[in-house]
Amino acid sequence: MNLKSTKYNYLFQQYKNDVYHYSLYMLGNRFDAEDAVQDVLIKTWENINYFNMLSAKAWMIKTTHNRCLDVLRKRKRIFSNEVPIDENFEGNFINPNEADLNAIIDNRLATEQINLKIKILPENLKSVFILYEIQGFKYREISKALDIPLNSVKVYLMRARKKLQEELKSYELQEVI
Amino acid sequence: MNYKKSSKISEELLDRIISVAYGSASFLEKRRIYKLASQNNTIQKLLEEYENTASAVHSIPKEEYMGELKIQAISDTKKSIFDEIYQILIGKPLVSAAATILLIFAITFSLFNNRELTYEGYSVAEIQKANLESKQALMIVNKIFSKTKKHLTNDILINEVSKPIKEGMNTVNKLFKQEKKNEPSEKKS
Repeated sequence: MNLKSTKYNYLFQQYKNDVYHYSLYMLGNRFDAEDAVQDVLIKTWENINYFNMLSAKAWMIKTTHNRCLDVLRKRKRIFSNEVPIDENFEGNFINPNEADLNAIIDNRLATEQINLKIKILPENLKSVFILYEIQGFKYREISKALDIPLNSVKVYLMRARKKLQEELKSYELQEVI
Repeated sequence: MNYKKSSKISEELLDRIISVAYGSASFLEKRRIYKLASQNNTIQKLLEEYENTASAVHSIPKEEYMGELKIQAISDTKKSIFDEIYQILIGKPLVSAAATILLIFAITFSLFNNRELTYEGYSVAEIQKANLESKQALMIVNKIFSKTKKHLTNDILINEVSKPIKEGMNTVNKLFKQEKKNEPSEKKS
């Protein structure tokens, strides 16, 4: 086994979930996310000798981000009114024997709403929010990956948190009405 | 700023509340906000709302990618020792750094330890003393040898060797003499 494939195997094992999870939130469905992961992996293989291994994580997320933006741009041109399919339908099925069914349903609905609201956040806010809050990246890593200043990362994150809260509030109001 | 009485919350305070709710604020900041929240219902409510959202966001599970590697040539290859070493060096830099430090420490320690045992030469007094002691030892050996020589020549050789040989020779002579006396009588008969 040569050094190139060793490096690649390491990067694949280490960051495949990060790339997939990020694509999933950005693109909203598994098929596109899987395609994005494959594209990023191929690009990683092609460029593995040109980037520093210590900043490989940032490079891969940056490539994923760019790939997602491309897909979203294309999608905007083709479908203006796309209705997302609920892929977790089977996962949402709850065993009727479980105790405290109402609480479980409420919890699932709340999580589902949050997921939905995250997905409809503006792209720049969404990417920072996902990377920081869900993927557990640090400010510096996000700044490097998305190629934006550190302070902008902090500002975007704060805006995303506020926007998410506003969206959830408006949903609650609609529910009440 | 007097947040206790005012019902309107400034943008700066809201940012601090959100940071506390999402767990990215410092300990002191947290204490300050919790204190304010206990005195102001609006802040309390806002903090709770953001905390609920934050806990829901943080509890979202990370989905795993179950796909295979598309590049066939790589997926076919097996993991080698080189692979493992690379993964340890890059994936666990702290472990490899700790191992290196430990190794350096062990080598340095052994070098210092050996230095204590190295030969640094003897003093003049020590050489003189050793010379004297070796002379004394040789003298003792010499004395023993001369005593042994004396004992061997005076006692052992004379009493234990020469005497029995002399006696033996005398007996043999006697026997020869007797034989010579008996010879003519035998011829006559």
